[in-house]
Amino acid sequence: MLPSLFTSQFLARLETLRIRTRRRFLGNRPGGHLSLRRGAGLEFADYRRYAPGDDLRYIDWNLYGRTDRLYIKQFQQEEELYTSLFLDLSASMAYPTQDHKHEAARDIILSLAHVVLAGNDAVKLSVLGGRSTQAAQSTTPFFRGRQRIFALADFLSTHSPAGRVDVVQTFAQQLQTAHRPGKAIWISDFLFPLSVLRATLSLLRGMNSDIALIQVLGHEELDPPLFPAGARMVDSENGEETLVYFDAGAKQTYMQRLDRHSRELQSSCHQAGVHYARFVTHQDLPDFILNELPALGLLK
Amino acid sequence: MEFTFLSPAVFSLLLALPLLFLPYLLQQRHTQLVVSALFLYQDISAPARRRLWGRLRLTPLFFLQLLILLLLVGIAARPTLQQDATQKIAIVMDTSASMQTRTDSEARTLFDMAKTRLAQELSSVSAESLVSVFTTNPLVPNGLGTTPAESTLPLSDMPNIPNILQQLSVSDAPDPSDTALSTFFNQLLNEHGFDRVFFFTDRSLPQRSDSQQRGDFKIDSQTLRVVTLGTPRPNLAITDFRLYRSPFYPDEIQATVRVYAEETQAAWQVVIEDSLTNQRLMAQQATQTAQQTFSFSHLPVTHTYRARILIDPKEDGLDLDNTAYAVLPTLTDVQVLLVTPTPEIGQSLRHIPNLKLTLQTPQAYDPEQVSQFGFILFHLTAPEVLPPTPAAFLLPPEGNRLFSLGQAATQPRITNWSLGHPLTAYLTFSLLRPVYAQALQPAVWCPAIIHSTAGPLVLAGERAGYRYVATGFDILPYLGQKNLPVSILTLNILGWLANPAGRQGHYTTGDVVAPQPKSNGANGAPGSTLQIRFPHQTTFQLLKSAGPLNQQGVYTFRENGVERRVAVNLFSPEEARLGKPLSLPQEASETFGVPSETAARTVDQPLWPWLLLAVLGLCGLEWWFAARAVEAVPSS
Repeated sequence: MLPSLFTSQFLARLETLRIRTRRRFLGNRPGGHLSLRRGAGLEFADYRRYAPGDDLRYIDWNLYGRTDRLYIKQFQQEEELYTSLFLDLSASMAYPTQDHKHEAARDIILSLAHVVLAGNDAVKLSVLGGRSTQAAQSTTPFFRGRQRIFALADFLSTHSPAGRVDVVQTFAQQLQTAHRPGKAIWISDFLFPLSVLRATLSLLRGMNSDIALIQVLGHEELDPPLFPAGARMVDSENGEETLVYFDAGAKQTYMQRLDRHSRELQSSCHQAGVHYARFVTHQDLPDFILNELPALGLLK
Repeated sequence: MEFTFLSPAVFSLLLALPLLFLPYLLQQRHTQLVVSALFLYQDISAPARRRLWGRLRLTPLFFLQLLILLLLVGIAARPTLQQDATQKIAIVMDTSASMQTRTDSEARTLFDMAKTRLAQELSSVSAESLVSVFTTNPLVPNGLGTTPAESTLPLSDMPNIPNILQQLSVSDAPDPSDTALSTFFNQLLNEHGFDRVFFFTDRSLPQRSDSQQRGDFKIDSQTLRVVTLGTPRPNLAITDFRLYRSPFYPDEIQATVRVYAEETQAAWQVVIEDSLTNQRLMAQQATQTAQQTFSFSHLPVTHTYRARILIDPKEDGLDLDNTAYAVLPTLTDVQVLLVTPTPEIGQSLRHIPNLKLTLQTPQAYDPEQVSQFGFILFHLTAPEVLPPTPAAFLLPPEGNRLFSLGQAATQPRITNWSLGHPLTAYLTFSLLRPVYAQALQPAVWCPAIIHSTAGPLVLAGERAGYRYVATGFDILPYLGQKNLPVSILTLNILGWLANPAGRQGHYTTGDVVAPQPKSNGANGAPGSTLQIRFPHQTTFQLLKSAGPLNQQGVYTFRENGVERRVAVNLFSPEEARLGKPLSLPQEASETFGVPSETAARTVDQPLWPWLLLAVLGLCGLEWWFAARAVEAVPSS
């Protein structure tokens, strides 16, 4: 069952979008994305000398007239794109509870999946961590076809944020079974040390993937309330706690830390050639998907 | 304007103020908040907050609530702004003669001291008060009244008080009567509506409580502030000075000076002077006794006499009572009615000069016609009631209704007599041996003057303003030098009866003088006036009214062309008794003597409504802050 956001209008608008990659990948089936292969296609790629057995329809007769040599026109083949969606379901995605970070991330990832499926591409969804209500796998096979969006929604509905995730380890395990390079989109709050992020990005790049990161933050994480009388701050993942007198000064320090973390995250993405987008829960989600992501080059 | 709390005991509630910390201490149980990433919060708060005192985070809300609580406690303590109210203040200055007493250390009088003290006392009075100054004795010639209340000066502002005080001077008159003083104080408060009364006097309130002290002390009350001035000190005083000049032997002028010298140890002397020429006529050294009577005989004839005590001024408190004046009685013929069953014996009285004798038998005696006689002699008879004129009863018969008779005796011996009484003057009692005597029973109003072996023989007393003498033996016929003892006694009796007041032309200070109707007909003619020339030679015209004699000395009265002199003296033992000053009347002390701590009258303006308004405003502010604080706390 799709979330309430996915109305027919929203779905129709999603179908007008396509996943955009900065690189070309080999696919198994014809699709809408330029492939590394030469073949049937619309976009001219190169010439090569005619060889017996070549289809005479691709001989460039004009070039033959100028050079008295036979050349065959080669075209870029358009194939499907394998897109891997990674959703962080560590416990931090459930907090702050009133910001519904997890739900926002879920909607984003379902929207991207629908864009992929509507573009006749293959999409695979993996959850990082989390708690499953059933003995479900943490990853789905590659799905094709619009109707599989429901399967993905059902898959996500069986998982909820919980626990702590060893991101590097989890990605390493996920990528061991992945044999197809393609688009990799990772949705998380990325509120963990950037060393972990960098290690994970190295893994993804090793898989020759075009990586995009979408950071989902709660509004309260950007503007946390004051607790001048003190509050016991408990880490949602490891349970560690500390007493914090979160007054205006402390909040300023927190904001500086969060800002530095975000800037370093962006810098890391920039250095790694990774798309980066940030969604804050108080933003308009359809607008983010339909306008901001195309503007950032993640969709087209 | 003074800020005060009417219920300061309520401030003990402040001891419970630390209870306000309790909810804040309970609130210090920190909220547990799950955050997505703790590393952003690590070591983010200042270390000082971790200290014990730092744990108690006092928010502005706390201080707001603290302020509200303090204001509530303040309201319960009933804060009040006390403003000095415009008061009507009566200043009563004792202007009696004793206020002329000099103080020990300096030559200032008690009245001067009272003025100084008045300025000090008024410094505690609101400058907006209205003050009226009263004197206990009417002043001459400014005051015309006879009671203290009538000497009122108009209400004045405080700045005018020094000018008013400059006009005041002390009189020579004694204190008004206790009744008049009590009535006066009651009038000030109950009728004139004065809020406070300052009374500057040398008199003290009767001792009633420990708050009162002897000497120079003050008694505070809500309405009356009595400031007693001066300290007890010895004083000599002439309490009586009289000239005795019988119309029946006018060449003999006797003077009697009675001196009160109870607490004086210094040497002193009594002199008789001519008050006009200051010529000393006679002098006598005094002895150390409390009450002394000095008799001066054979005084030379002059207009006015002055008796004076000569003493070192440092040893005497009041000069005024050291001097007394007397005017020589005028000589006139005395109309005498002799009622006797033996008129032939009465004829012998015609040998006495200045005596106009009228003889009547007891049957012809008409009590309605006695007013035309100077006195009446009842010889061997007595009327039913005392006549309304001086009278002598010579050997009243048995069964009379006026005097009870004792035993009869022949030739009784005189055993005792009253020294100093005019009836016993010049008498040699050993020679006085009546042939027959009937003892008389003395009465309360008529004590015995001469006693004999048979009992009291001569009674003398006054009743209803008239002098009466009764003798238990017959003094008639008047034999002159042939029977000197009886003749002298007869002349003494006649002279005493002829000078009923004993002080002809003699007044005391404070007396009231009025036009005498008799001088201008039976009822006095309308518009009759009396011109008074005071001792200081100022004159005063008195018209159908009464005037005071508040200055010691010799006054000259001119009424309808007739001039006469009178001597006015301070013969007040109470004024002269400086060693034991007279206390205020009990009625006055009961009315005003309630001790009180506060002297100034104030108007209380409660401040609690304003504070309550502030509390309500602060409560609204606190509610707004609290609502914001609740909104700021996240649900997680």
